[in-house]
Amino acid sequence: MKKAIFLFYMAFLGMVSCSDDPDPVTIDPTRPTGSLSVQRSGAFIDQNSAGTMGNASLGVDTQGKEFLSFNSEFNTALATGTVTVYLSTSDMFMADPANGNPNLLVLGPVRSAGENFFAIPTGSSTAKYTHVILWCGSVGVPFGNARLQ
Amino acid sequence: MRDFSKMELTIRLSQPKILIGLGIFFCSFGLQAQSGWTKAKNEGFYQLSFNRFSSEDYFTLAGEPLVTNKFTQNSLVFYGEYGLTEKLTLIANWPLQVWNGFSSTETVSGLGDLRLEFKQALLKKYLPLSIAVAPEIPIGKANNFAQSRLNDFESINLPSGDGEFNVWTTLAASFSLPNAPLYGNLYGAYNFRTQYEGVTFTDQIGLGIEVGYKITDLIWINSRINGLTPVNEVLVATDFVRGDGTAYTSYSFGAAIPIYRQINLTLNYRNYTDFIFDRKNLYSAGTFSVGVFYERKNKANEASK
Repeated sequence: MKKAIFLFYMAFLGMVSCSDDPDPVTIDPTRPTGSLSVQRSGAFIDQNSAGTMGNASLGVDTQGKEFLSFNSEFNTALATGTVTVYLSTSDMFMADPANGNPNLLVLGPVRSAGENFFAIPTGSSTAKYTHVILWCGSVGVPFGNARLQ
Repeated sequence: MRDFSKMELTIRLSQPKILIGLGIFFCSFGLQAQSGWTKAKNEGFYQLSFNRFSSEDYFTLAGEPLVTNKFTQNSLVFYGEYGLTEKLTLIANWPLQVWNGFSSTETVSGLGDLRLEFKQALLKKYLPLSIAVAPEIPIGKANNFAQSRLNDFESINLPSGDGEFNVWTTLAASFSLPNAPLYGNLYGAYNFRTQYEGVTFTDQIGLGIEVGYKITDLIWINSRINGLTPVNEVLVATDFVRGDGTAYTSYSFGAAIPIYRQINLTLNYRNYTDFIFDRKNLYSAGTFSVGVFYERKNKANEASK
């Protein structure tokens, strides 16, 4: 009996260990899948001596999801406080929170220089937005903007 | 001839070492008295003051005015002088607590950096002349993030210390008139700055002039003009809040009113302009200060008054 149990146990181990597990596929929703097909782009203009530079591009990945991307040359004043990325209908930051900020679409804070990606929220259309604005919300000043064309 | 060097000629109102680049934050320079006089041995001067500053008018590194959310800074500052010898005075300037906040953020607070100044008399009698070396020891809170009130993902660093070790060297001369309660100070200073977390800061040059007069044989009033400028022009902000590239001309008016024996009340108002150096990387508005100081004099000097 003991021999039978031992043989059964070894066979079970053999089945488990020999199963061909595929490597897990991790999908990072904050990064595009595959290459980004750029639709509009523009260079950043520095504002208020923040040292802003680089390019912004709006595009679609291979899964059809829309992203805003900053290239590897991107930089701005990141040491002081949070810099938040907005799509805007103009180069001016026109907040209107009482009416749901119709001229702005917040994409989130940018934390580091270099390449960055911001997923466009599902269900949002970017058609009306013409600019990217880098906004220091605590102080209430822009650090730069890029016209998307 | 009345010996004004043995009287309290200057109204010492210190300001925390806070220039917010994004205005202020670290502006130790300007409100302290810079004079050619030193304390006699064992004489002392001890002051506690409260300063309030609030502004939404920021001047960029390029000197352009910009309206921002309102920045407010309050501070409680200790300032003391003690005569170690007849020619050497130890001076301490220490913001005990600094409160910083924008109208869009919470207020955060912390200890400021300690400035210890060693002031040596070069000439004492006819033209008081002194040289002072003042290391600023970064014991204050070098990072202090204030959370936004508007959302949960934004914050801003409003430190109460700049995190950087730097040394001010000041040469100051003073005069007093023999037959009138009038004095003057003139000084020039150089701030050797170092770095904080790999970010280097540009050295600074400061200068100033002060005139004081005693009215009704009771109240000292004074007025000052100070200037500060970086040695090299700073075109791009490496760190707004640590005063890199900050420049200004400031003017102030003060008064010292005797309350009881050696205890005096001090009042001061300071504001900024572009008279000598244009305002750059600075919040500009009036600073109101109120303080109390106690002055300890040697009995021989007290009697000579």
